[in-house]
Amino acid sequence: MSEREQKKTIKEISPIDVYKLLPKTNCKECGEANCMAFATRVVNGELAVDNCPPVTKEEYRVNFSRLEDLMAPQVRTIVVGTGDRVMKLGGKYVLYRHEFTYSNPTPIAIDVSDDLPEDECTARVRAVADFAYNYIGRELRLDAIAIRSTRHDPAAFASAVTSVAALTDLPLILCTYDAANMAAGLAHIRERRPLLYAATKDNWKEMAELALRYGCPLVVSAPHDIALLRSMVKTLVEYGVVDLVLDPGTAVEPGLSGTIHTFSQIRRAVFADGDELLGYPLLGTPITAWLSPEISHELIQWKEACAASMLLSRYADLLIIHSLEGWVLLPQLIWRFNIYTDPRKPVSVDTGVRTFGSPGKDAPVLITTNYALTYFTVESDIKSAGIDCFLIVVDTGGNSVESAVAGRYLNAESMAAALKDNKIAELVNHRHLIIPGLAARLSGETEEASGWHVLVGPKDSSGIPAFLKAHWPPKNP
Amino acid sequence: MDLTTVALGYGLEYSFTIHERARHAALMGDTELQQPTISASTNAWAAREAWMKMDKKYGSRVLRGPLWETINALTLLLAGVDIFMMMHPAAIRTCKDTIRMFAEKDAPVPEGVARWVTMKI
Repeated sequence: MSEREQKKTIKEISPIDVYKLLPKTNCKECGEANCMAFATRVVNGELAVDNCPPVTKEEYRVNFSRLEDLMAPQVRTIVVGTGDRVMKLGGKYVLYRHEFTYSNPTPIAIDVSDDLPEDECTARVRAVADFAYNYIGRELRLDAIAIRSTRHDPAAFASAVTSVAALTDLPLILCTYDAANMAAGLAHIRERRPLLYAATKDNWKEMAELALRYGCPLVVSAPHDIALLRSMVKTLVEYGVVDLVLDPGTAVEPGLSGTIHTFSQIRRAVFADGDELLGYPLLGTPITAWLSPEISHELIQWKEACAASMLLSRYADLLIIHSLEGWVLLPQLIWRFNIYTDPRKPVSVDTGVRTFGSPGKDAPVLITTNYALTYFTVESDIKSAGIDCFLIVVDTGGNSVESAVAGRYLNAESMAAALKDNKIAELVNHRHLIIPGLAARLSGETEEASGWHVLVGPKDSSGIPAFLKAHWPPKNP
Repeated sequence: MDLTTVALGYGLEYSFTIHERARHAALMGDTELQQPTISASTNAWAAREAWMKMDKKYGSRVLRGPLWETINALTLLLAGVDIFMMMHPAAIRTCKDTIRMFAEKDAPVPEGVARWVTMKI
């Protein structure tokens, strides 16, 4: 325990701390130049300790375990599922993303209840598995299915669990407070390592037995009662259940304020007070919005969406949502992606010229910035419209078009230089450059600096296909 | 202080982090940052996902757009923003309701949220 209390935070750990415990043979088996380089990447969160093959061998057993302790996050990492489809929950090193970076983007689970007719159940599971959105070159998806026991009937729950499991390899969460239901559902999917929801102050012993027997992680539920939650964690850990997820209770309206406060209080206790008993992933359940007597589904979905997004910002490591509407889910998937990006890294892409399709000598030449969000948006619009063209990516220091124009990172000289350096004149036989609409005011200067004709493109790249239809080939070549 | 408000999907995480850092610094005694902050959450509408007609699986923009602005503002509310400049009436209403809820001291905690497991929807 005393060793734990002195545990260093991620910012206090130096590469030397890691290096001292490595084999120090500079064997390069990990792919790095030497052990010090490996240690540096471990401390930056880019590599895990077990990426060093020799240190996992028996002779280094003591050092390996000390390394694991040293690098263990304050919020434990809990693994749900098996094989390729595991989801990792928690594993947080910091309270605020700017202190390091967040890891393990909050998985979003959608519920399926055991009272659904078979065809509706199948359609719902398929919809969850198929939901996807292409955002700046990444496919954003939903992560898991939470199966709820609503009929108080072990056979019905077992049958629902079996059919959902047969339909999808997504990780599963089994939801019931009744240990007999849980046992019936679990018996059919024991090899899937589902997350069990939930142990309460009344059923914890039976649920703990199931978690131990089947080797599954377990949610501890104590709505709006941190003291109870904490004491249940203590009891369960002593009982031998170590893979725990905490459910502090989610109330959407009224009570969202208290919910956000409770989540924040728990996380602050972990990082500010070193409270190990609360150092587990947190489950948020915006689905509780549906307990409302409100009649309008759209209003409930709206409230569920707002609660979900706030819980993504304030410490939920797993969410269970009911709404499958795209307008509810899209902002969640994008916001989750955003807050889990590494704030230490500039989001820029390589500069140079990109070729789309098979452009000929008369193909359009477009220019944009090296800001990742700008670039991937332009790229996806060009690709989805199937346009054959050249796209010059110019170094704007990772600034978007609007900021780059305002800050003079994108200017007539830099565009003229990009045309020259990338030898665009050899790629095409025309001299027309299409610049972003938000850089319109640079058009005159750019014509002077480069000797090329400048066409001012649309302000939003979704307008590129229509723009080219109207303006390409240019009327005055 | 206007620390910039970027649209969700276009860099809201920068705004979120800048606001969090500035507020922490202010509370820790940095006198230069001890001013109220203002957010132009109307900027949310710069995101194409807020206004563009999309495949029907992403829902109607009539709901998608206002929710986009709402989430933009609620996220920055969590980071401590003091004044919001907003556009859509539904977004404004939700933010006002939320702010009122967050300002209530010792609001009662609803009973029975555990019922979500067995509820019929």
